[in-house]
Amino acid sequence: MKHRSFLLYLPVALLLTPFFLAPMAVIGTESFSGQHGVGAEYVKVVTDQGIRTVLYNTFYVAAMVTILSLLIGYPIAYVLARLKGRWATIGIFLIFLPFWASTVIRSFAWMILLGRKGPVNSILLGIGLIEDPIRFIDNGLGLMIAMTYIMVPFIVVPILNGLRAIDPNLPRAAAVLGANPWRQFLAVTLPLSMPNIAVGCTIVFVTSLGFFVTPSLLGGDLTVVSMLISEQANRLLDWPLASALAIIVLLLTIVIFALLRLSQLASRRRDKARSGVFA
Amino acid sequence: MDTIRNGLSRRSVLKLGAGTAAVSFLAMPAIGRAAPTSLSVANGGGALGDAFKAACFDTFEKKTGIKIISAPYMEGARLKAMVEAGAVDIDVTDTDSSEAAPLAVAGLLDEIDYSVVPKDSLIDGAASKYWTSCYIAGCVLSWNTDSAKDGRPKNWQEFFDPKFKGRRTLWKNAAQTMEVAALGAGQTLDKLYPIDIDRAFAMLDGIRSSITWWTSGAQSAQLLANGDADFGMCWNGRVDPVKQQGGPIDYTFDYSLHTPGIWSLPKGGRNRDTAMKFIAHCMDPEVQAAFSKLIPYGPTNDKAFDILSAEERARMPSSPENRKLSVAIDGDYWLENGTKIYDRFNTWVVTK
Repeated sequence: MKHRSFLLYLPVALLLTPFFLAPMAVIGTESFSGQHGVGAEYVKVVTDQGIRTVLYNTFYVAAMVTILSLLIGYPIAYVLARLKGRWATIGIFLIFLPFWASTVIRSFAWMILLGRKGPVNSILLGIGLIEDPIRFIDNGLGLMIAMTYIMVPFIVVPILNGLRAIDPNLPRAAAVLGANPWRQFLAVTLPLSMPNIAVGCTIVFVTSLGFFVTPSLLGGDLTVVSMLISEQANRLLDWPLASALAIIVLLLTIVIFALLRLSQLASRRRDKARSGVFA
Repeated sequence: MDTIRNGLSRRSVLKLGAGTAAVSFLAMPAIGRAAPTSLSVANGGGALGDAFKAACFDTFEKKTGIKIISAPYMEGARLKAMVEAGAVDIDVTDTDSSEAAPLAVAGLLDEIDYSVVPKDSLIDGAASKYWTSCYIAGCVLSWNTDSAKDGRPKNWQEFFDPKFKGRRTLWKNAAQTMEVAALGAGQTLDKLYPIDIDRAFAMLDGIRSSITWWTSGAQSAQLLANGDADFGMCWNGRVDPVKQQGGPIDYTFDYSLHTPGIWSLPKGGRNRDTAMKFIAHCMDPEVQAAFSKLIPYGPTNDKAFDILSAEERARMPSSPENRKLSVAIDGDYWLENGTKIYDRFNTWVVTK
């Protein structure tokens, strides 16, 4: 049995080895091939104040975009899950409508919308909410708005799938037991959709780490690592440093997900222990 | 299969393989000598690509019967990967000199053969060892005409003077931005290099809170036309079309930086001789004048200016009238000092 289940990994391995593991090995080797001695690039990545700030910016933006996407995407998925038949199809169609325009165009549009004299600032100034235009395109605020807008569909779909898979009798049972709608949601629906929230957040977070066009147009003084890698690889032809940057981002991402997984396992163990009391 | 397995020993199969390899090796020079029916020329596309096609590609095909296939822009990394893999399928590339310089040092470009490419009437610096400049773009002081009603900076010193109120838009890139900052610090056009980096950064410090960064040429023109910035550094090829269409934007060639667009040959290209003829064709005054009429980038062949009208010359950064108050970007300077300055610049941008 054990042998056979191992074989099930074969297609994945066949896909990942040439298209992910082998390129990563090439980049890993490249990152140690600098002229300044083995590992010098890593020392630079870790000690250079500018590069450290860029790495911090990258993960900060990805985290903020993930949180905002979840806050906006969950209610949308919740409403979509309750739509029936044709309305559900139309709803999902609308969610994916923005994909008909490229990221470049959508980012450019946000640059105009959020500009100093753009519609958003004009409206806010007009109704007297602000006295000076908000500098969306200079400080990273506009970047996070635009990226959230791009990423929301990616979190809606997995959560929608999760919500649809929940047996409608479960919230009903909670209602019978006296739970109000809010409590039904908190005690039944939300915990049951947690795995899908985790999937959606992972997709959004990892994709956000690699954004390039949107930060180029809307990043302002907030540089992210993809821009730095591109500059090193294309303009300065410093492939060892560009590779070291890519490897560091990969390692940091792995560490973050390992920590998440550990905390998940720990909480599951806690739940088991708790339910054991009643067993 | 059966014949090989039964009738041939392993050794004879190897011999056969070696023989085939030898034959194809001998045959190769013959293939290489035959004139190709097409050339692949990578370029920036868009308005630039349209101008190249009408002025350079189509006329070359008419003259020689060799078709030019326009290929997408070759970033440095792609060119390096292509050459190092020995799979060079691009014959000529258009980049700017600051991108080509590191490629040349890394040994990724072929030398230009100036016995084929005529260089006598080319402007200073156009005929370089590893590339030939085919047009001159200008990095110019530009402004939104509505904002400029209350006055505009006349030069980079005023531009970098914090007393001059208004939002500035600058390229989020060390090269060119350090040059204008140095001019802001009072370095003169003829003594711009070596750049006094400390003084240039002091200039940037002074206006930090009023900088809006751009990363692409289209973006810079958009920011100025929208009024998101009041004045800025832009490439003339980007602001001029917006101005011609009546956008609220204007610029001056005073104190402009010249950045050459260049043709270069990725090392190991199969059609070197034809590629060289193509570059020679692009240096023709008629071809260059036709090109400059389509996009406001200046010719590198002085004779081309004779064909252009005074009105057309006024839009060219490199025209005899406009080049008086300008300076050419020094590619060698950036090659030597690039890494250090880019590091400091990137850190400056993100550190508040």
